[in-house]
Amino acid sequence: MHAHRVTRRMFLRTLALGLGASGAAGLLSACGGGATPTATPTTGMAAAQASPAATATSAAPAATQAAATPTRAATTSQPVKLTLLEHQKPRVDLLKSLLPKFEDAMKSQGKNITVELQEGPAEDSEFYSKLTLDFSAGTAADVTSFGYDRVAQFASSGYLLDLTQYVNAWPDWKAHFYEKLRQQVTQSDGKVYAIPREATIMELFYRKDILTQLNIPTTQPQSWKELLDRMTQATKATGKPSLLFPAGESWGGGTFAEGFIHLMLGTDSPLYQNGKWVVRSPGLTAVFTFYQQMVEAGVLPVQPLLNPEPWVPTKYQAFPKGDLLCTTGGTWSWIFDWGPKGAAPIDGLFDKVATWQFPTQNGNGTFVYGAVGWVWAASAKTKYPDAAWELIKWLASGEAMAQNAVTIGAAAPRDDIQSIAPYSQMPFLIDAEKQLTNSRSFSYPPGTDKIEQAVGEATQAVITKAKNGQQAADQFAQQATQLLGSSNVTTMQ
Amino acid sequence: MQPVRTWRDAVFVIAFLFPALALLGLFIVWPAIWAFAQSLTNRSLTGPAALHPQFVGLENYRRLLQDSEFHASLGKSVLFVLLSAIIGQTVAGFFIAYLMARRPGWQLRFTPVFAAIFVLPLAAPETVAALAWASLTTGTPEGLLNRALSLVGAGPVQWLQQYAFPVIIVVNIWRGITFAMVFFAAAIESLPTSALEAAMIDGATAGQRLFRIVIPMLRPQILIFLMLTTITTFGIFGLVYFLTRGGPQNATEIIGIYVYKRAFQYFDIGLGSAASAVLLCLLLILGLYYVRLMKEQV
Repeated sequence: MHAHRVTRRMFLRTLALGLGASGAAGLLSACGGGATPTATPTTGMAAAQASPAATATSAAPAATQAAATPTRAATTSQPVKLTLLEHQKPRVDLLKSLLPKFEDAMKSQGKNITVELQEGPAEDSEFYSKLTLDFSAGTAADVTSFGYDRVAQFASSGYLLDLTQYVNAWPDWKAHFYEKLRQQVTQSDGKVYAIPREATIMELFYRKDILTQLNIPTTQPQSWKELLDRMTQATKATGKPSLLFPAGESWGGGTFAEGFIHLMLGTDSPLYQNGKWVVRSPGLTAVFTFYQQMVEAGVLPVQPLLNPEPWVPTKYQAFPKGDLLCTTGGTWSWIFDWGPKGAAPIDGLFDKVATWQFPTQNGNGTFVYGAVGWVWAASAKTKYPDAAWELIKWLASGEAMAQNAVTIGAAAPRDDIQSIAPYSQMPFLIDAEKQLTNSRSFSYPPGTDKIEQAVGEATQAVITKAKNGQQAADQFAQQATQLLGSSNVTTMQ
Repeated sequence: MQPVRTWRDAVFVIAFLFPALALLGLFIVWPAIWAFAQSLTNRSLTGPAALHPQFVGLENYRRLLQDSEFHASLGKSVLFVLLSAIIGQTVAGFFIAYLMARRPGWQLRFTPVFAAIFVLPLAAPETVAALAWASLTTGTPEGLLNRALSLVGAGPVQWLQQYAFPVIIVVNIWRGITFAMVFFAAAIESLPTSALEAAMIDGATAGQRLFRIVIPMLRPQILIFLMLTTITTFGIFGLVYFLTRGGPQNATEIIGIYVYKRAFQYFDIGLGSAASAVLLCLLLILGLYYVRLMKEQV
């Protein structure tokens, strides 16, 4: 038999065909599912970051998008299994106790809806990475909860179910949810993609017992200078840093949400205007300069801010111990941080700790920050939009909302929870709720995550004394422009 | 080597190679092609570009060329590879292996004990190792290193703030020295002892035997190891991310962390893919250079 000699060229040609076939197989498999990004190293889990409030308000000019109207409504008499994603332990534990009650409530209405609770990574930045990837791949849970600062971003990406027709058909929405919060969750296209899970009031918490002992006034400071002067006096008396505005990269998004924004709102400069981020303004320079002044006066606890979990040595150690005398905080601080079951309980909490409103740069009025805290939202790709809405509606009502508010330490976003236990037994939360209507807030437009990054790095430069306030403001402007694109930013003189 | 003579032989060979080729194609080749395609778009995971990504050509590469942070991260990566992989792992690993290897006129006692100690770093997963080092180098007085310093009246030192880059170099050397040691130990023990014995008889010193005989004979193995460790060290992510997250002030933002931040924190897939593509090209060039060096010997 004639042996057909296979040359090297013929062999390589055949090999190339084989490779091409395998590449085509890969192409078909990639096109079959959601396209996922591949150009990155593997991610991993980091230590938990407890910063539950990421609050913001008001309609953000979101990009137009195709409304994700529920066209695949499943009949609720059919068995429906929803997935619900949550990631912070107290919230997960609460949902574990609430979800069976929801399922029973649905059964009593003749609806066979069950819920599978999925636990996400504990740290916020890891959670948001996972959530965004899940949304992008179309594999996100039917219902999830996240900080309000992400709503505009997710909505403009087409990830969230349009809830407008649902909320409009819900009597409680206009009858009981605070108008300010309803406006905050309404996007610039007039639609609602998420509803408030809770409301947050943020202000300054101070150790009134120790300030009184040191003969330092405990009346409301009107200006930054007045606050700084008092805390400088306190630091001289104790030898320890006395004032905390979160700063630096270690605090993650908390640097923006729990520190920076409360100074920025006290200036006369806007941070976002006419659809663009204001990346250079007198207000921004003043804020970074104030951080510089806090560092130079020795009142800011710099070393803890440079280490992982900076809230532990500051809010959970120094403040209860009485070394740190004033810090930003929110309604959650009364329970989550220093309550009897909190991370760092303070005995006689309400005798030792009181609150100030945030002073302003020029002393022309003080304010609390009040806004939507976390929200409930449904995935635009959920197969059961009606059932998802039933779950969201139930979690945002009655006892479920009352328990959520108390567990997290948040104010209720609706006015009919004050008489429902256990919320009714928390007068400080009810008092906070009453401040909502007169509070200041900030809209979290698309691009907030990039601004948060730039703020973290600029404040890091200040607290490490790598840059002064003006230089940090320059760095912020440059980096924000690079991250957002020059067409999305503007400056003010 | 027997040539492939018939079509049947060719099919046979391809059939054996196909599973490996398929896996390579699916998990290496295809993702690289897809990443390059993404790098030519403005694709993002959030915002309008998530809904409607557009072709932007080489815009992402232009942004990279103008991004000082990208240049800085490349520079830091090169320095990281040079110090931790090439000098640290290769040189230190080679000398440890040389000391532990049985050679004519030399046998170290208790080598199994030393071997067990040096293999320990490989026993811990990368994330666990990074978190353990993070705890050890924490800047508070309770950190293990600072406690040791306090015994001599020094510290505490903010290791991950003031010395972040040296710390990640030390950690990477610690992590990679085991593989280097095992690799070179096997290579050294495979050397023909006759050459070393002859050198000893001729009166060659220990240094002369090492530099004139052992190292030249191990040149192919050394080059292979250098190629492997250079490429893997350029791609390191987890070890540095869980120690420093690329900080402080981007001091340890090597290229892997730069790519991760752009793609998964800023959600700019286009830019992250472009950075990955640039890294891939650099590594291909490096790999080809090492292969050429190995061929030169032949």
